[in-house]
Amino acid sequence: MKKTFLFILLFLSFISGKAQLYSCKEGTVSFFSETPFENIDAANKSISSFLNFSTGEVIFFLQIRGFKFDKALMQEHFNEKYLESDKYPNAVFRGKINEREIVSKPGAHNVTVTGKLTIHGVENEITVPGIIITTDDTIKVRCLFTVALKDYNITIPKLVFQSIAETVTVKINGAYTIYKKDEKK
Amino acid sequence: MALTPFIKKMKKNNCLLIFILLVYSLAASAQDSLMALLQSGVSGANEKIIATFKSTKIISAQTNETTKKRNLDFRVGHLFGNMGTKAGGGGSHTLYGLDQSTDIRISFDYGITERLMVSFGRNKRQENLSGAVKFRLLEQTTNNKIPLAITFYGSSAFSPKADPEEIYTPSERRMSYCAQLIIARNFSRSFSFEIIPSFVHRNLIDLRVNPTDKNDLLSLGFGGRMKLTRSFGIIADYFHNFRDESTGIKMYAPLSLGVEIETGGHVFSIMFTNASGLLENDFIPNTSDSWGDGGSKFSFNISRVFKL
Repeated sequence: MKKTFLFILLFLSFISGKAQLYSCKEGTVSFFSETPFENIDAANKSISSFLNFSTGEVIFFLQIRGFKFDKALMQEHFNEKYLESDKYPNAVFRGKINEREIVSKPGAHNVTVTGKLTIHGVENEITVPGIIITTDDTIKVRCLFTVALKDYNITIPKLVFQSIAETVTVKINGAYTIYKKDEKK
Repeated sequence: MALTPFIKKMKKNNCLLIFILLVYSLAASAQDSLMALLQSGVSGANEKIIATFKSTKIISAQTNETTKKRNLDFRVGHLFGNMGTKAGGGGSHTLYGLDQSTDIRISFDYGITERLMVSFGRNKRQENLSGAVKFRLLEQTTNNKIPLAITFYGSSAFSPKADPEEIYTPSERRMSYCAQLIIARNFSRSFSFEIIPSFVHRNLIDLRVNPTDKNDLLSLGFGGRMKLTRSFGIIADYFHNFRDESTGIKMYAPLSLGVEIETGGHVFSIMFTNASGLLENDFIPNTSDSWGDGGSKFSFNISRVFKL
């Protein structure tokens, strides 16, 4: 009887644990920076992300080459000169939702997420605000924060004529659904 | 849940806990490989190499690069006069050729697709009006599955010069053509190199210059770039012509050396060359100045890209 009880307990926790893992099927990471000379605007849909509601863990992974710019030459310079995507192809965020108790309840929640953001091979601890909208089958995530280029060792060569802003605003939009292991993306 | 019969069956089994632990460890390992999972979800280990060269030309030589889709590259090239007096025109009285302009080229390159570019330009020399197409046949990939970039370049030029002696009659004689295969490779972050098998055809050749000259000319070009910083590099190119030059006026292989500065939108090239012109149809067959005789010339090129 004791063993049966243990089994049921473990099994249920396993089931619920599984159900708490959400993967991002549709998401966009975009960034924007404004200078008197010209605005820089790029969006990336080649992202991969998971949310674990039982632990509050958030993980975000994207390819730098996935950022699409309106100006193709700007995109080339972004990869070649600034982000050096041949050397540092990815950006990763691993963190935890600080208010994880409330997020599994249906509704919109203001949260903060603390974790390590790695861009251009440089890791920084950041805390960013966001909104999590929980419904029965999907989790929607919105997030807006600024990144200072110098924190990630991204420098602007002196010979560049157009002024490039020293901070960029990053916007994250994602829709998450329950992750099934056998599901292939 | 139809779990109870299953449990009853397993109840007597001592392996039950092991089974549970196994399930758990599998679940745990699934969590551990979250990073692997993340990376597998994003494709793209097979990316194309970008920016093998900064621009569509090194100095005299075309590169494998084409102007990007819906981008217009406005280019101005200027070739001053000979620096030395032995080759003619140089020396201090012309400020080492700076008072003269051997050739000026103004051209517009436009990217129709990411791989196809068209170009229109006008040269001072021969008053050549030229049109060209450039197409990327192959693009080098980061995983080396395609180790080379190959681009086709074809140009034709029409010389509308005044013709009092009726040399250019019939008017087909005014045409010249050039076809090139640009075979390029980006070897490292800073070094790119290319070879350029070239074919030049001129409808009119001047046998007073070289009595054994032929209308068709095969040439092999080499070009490279070494980046010293992200925006600054050393550039060079060279063409070797396969023809008999034992008679007539001696012709030389055009050799060009310079630096390029890319400033985001602009590419400036500053160089020295013995080439006599700025268009392939012209400088490949007609370079009569040599470095050895002070026939090198100061030259610059400005490229400005606009998004249309």
